[in-house]
Amino acid sequence: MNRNLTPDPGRGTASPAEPTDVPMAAIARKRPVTMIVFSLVAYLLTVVTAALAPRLLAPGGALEVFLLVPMLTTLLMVCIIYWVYRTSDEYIRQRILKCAALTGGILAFSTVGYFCLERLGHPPLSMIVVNLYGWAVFMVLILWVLSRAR
Amino acid sequence: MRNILPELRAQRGWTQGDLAAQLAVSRQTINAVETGRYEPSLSLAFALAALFARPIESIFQGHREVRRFTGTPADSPP
Repeated sequence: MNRNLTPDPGRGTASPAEPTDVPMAAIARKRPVTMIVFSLVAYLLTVVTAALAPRLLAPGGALEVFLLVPMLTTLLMVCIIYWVYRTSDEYIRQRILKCAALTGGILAFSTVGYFCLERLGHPPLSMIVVNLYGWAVFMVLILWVLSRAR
Repeated sequence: MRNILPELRAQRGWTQGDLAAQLAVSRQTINAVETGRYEPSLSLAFALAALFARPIESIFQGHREVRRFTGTPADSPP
């Protein structure tokens, strides 16, 4: 049996599990909710813009730019979520992973459910609607986790 | 897995927030560990043991029953 499990009695304070993450963790506790909300708003705005652009602009370079901008805001959201994940402690990381799994489950049931509705005559949905719905669900779950992580 | 973190914390007059700050984790993490909703990683368990100057096994008691693929308990003789 490894007796090294017994800590040094003279040691008064514990060393953090990841010392290099401590300053980032302090920042991450203060700003993630704001960053996530802003990135979600930016994403929604760019998606709405991309949806309206074909009605307002003639086919060409400008229209292509408007159609591709949501890719950038999606990347921004992914980067922010990843940053929040990396700077969170182990329990919050577990909760974030649960959020991702729960989002996947909700999306799976929703898409199957709407598939049944389509069979009953509802109009087919664009994948961008599924994308919007999935991101919104994921972000709400993440915000709920982070708002309780004090 | 049971633990005596609330008692140890109370002996020192620390809140969950105080303990969380010393371990660089969130208060929610400490709460989840204390209530048994979350089993800490080895590194966090070592940090807790070092902070309270106690062996890990004196802070955390109980073990999960592990069964092998044969269906026999892991701690039973082969």
